Parts: sequence; C-alpha cells; structure tokens
Amino acid sequence: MDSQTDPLESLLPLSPIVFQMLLALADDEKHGYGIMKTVEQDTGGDMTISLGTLYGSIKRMMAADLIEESELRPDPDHDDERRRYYRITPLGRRALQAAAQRLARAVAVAQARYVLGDAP
Amino acid sequence: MKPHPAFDPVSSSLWLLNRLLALYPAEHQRTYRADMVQTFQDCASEAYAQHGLPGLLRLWLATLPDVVMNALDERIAGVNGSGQAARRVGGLVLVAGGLLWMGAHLPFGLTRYGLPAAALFLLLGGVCILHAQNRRHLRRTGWVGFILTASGLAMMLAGYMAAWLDGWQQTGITVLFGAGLQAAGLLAWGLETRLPQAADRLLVVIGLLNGVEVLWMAQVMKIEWAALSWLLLALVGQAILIGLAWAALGWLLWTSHDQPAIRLAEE
Repeated sequence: MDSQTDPLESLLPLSPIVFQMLLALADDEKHGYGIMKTVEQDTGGDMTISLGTLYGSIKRMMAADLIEESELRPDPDHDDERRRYYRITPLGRRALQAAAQRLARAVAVAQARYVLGDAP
Repeated sequence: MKPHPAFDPVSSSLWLLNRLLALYPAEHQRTYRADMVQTFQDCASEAYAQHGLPGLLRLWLATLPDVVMNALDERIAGVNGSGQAARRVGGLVLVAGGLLWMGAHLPFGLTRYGLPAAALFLLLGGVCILHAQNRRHLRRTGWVGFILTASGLAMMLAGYMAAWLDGWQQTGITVLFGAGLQAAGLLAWGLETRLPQAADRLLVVIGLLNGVEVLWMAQVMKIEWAALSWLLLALVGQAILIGLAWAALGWLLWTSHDQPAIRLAEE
C-alpha cells in the first residue's frame, strides 16, 4: 500500500503570487523580468511583484519542484547570457491546474448566485 | 581639467542595487545576483524611459523595502525557506528585550539609560524579524501598523540613546510619542497579522498597554513630575507590564512548532 501523500496536497491552496507566477509560465518559459511583466498584464496591474519577492518566490518554487531553470534561450539574437530562464515543471502544472479548477468552481458558484451580475 | 562624468540615474541605481544585494546570504548571491541585477536593469530602464526620475523613484520606493525585507528573510530563515527558525529567533530576541525592559524599570525609576536602550534595540530587532517572517499575509493596514510600531520603538530608542550618550533631558517626550505610535501600530498590526498560539492577540494587548501608558504619561507630564510619586509608580508598573507582555509574546513564538517546510500554500 502506498502510504505517501500526494505532494499537491501540501501545496494547495497556492498563494496569489505563486499562482500568478505559474500562470505566467504556463505557455512559455520566461526570465525574471518577463514573469514580472506577464503577471502585471495578466492581473490588469492589480498585482506587481517587486525584485526581492520575485526571486524569493522563484527560489522557493524551485525548491518545491514547481518550476525549474531552463537551458534554452528562445530568442538568441536578443538574449543576454546573464539572464536565467524558468519553466513550469509537471508538478507545477498539476498544482496550477488544481488551483485553477478551484477558482473555476468558485466562479461557477458566484455566477449561479448572481454575484457577478445578471440577476433575474 | 577632467570633465565631470554625466549623471546617469539608471547606472547609479544599478550601483546602489549591487550594494544592497550584499545584504543577501552568499549562497543566494551566487545563484541569483546577476539575474536580479539584469531584471532590475530592465525595470529601471523602462521606468526611467517612460516616467523619468519620478518613475525611477517610484521603482525604488517599491524595491528598497522589498529587497531589504527579503534579504533579512533569507538570512534568518535558512536555505529551505522555513519560517520556524526565524520565528524562534525573533521570539528569543523579544523575550530578551522584554525581560531587559522589565529589568530596567524594576528599581522603580530609571537611573541609567543604557539598559532601556538595549531593551528597545532588541525589541525593535525582534519586531523586524517577526514582520519579515509574516509580512506576506499582511495587507496595507498591517504594513502601516508594523511601520508605526517600528517607528515608535525607534523613536524611544533614539531618545534613550541621546540621554545615555549626550545627557539629553527630554526623554519623556520621545517615550510619550513613541508609545503612542506603538499603541496605534500594534493594534493595527496585531489585528491583521496571524501568529501561532494566538500570539497576535498579545500584540493587541501590548498596543493597549502602550495606549494606557500614554495616558499615564500625559497626566504625569501635565502636572509636576516630583509631586506625583504614586502616578510615577503606576507608570513604572505599566512599563513592567509591557516588558512582561513582550517577553510572553516572544516565549509563545519560541515554543511554537507548526510551520510547514516550504511556505508556498496560503495559511
């Protein structure tokens, strides 16, 4: 019998910053500045991540195997070798999927109860 | 004559950031320093190109406290990012500060200023460690509360240091204002932050005790110091209570054991 617990259980619910950072990496690998800008755009400017928080989160997310460093350089013509690129891991994708499903369920309930408008 | 090099705000910002990053542990610097500098260069160039100096200033206002607090966090939390070590160290520092603050008032009067200054230094350090470990859960009210609390402690510390080193005689004013800031700050901070073993409620209690102390002090300073021995006695008793409460808060944090290994999930 497998007594080990699913690592996802200890990771959920994700903090808003971790969720948005995983979401930023969902479709493509990015460097630190790219993650910052994508999070800002995805949240309509509601969430901005400062430098210290960004790299503190990156460090912890790498330790938790949610993201990993990538050796690939997608745009070599405009690349700087000091830059490090990060990509989401399979575990990170599962965590993101589970967190997004929770949010989707909450939104469905909110719609059913007319919290988002369109009351009968 | 050699011409004075033109001032480049972005380069100056990078120079400053490089100094600031030295606050991080060596291991963190080895892994992330170059990347952090590169990312900040992108941010600074964009801010300066779009909004000029005010834009760069706004970037620094966000970056400076964030980098300092994260560097402190990295230093005290260790490489695994566990907050337990930080909280226990913070707790121990608060116990020492609280007991020292009590000790400074136990002779029922302050004859030396070095002891309360040392106590305030420890309390300020303990409060900063506590905040560094818990700041992710705070919204604006909690942040303002922490800043007021730290400012109050720093103001009192400055007053006692000036009295100790320079023989300054107006310590009462700094204690009055410092305790007032702490009262407001600890209430706001304590109501929003979440500490194990309900230690956050002790922050509120210490805030209330500081509020009462402010009322006592205002009364004492309005009338003559010398004529009111009972009131002074009450004031000293109040200060001892505050020291005891800080020490109790530190003890609760020192003895707590419930932190997850990696702080990713929301508590």
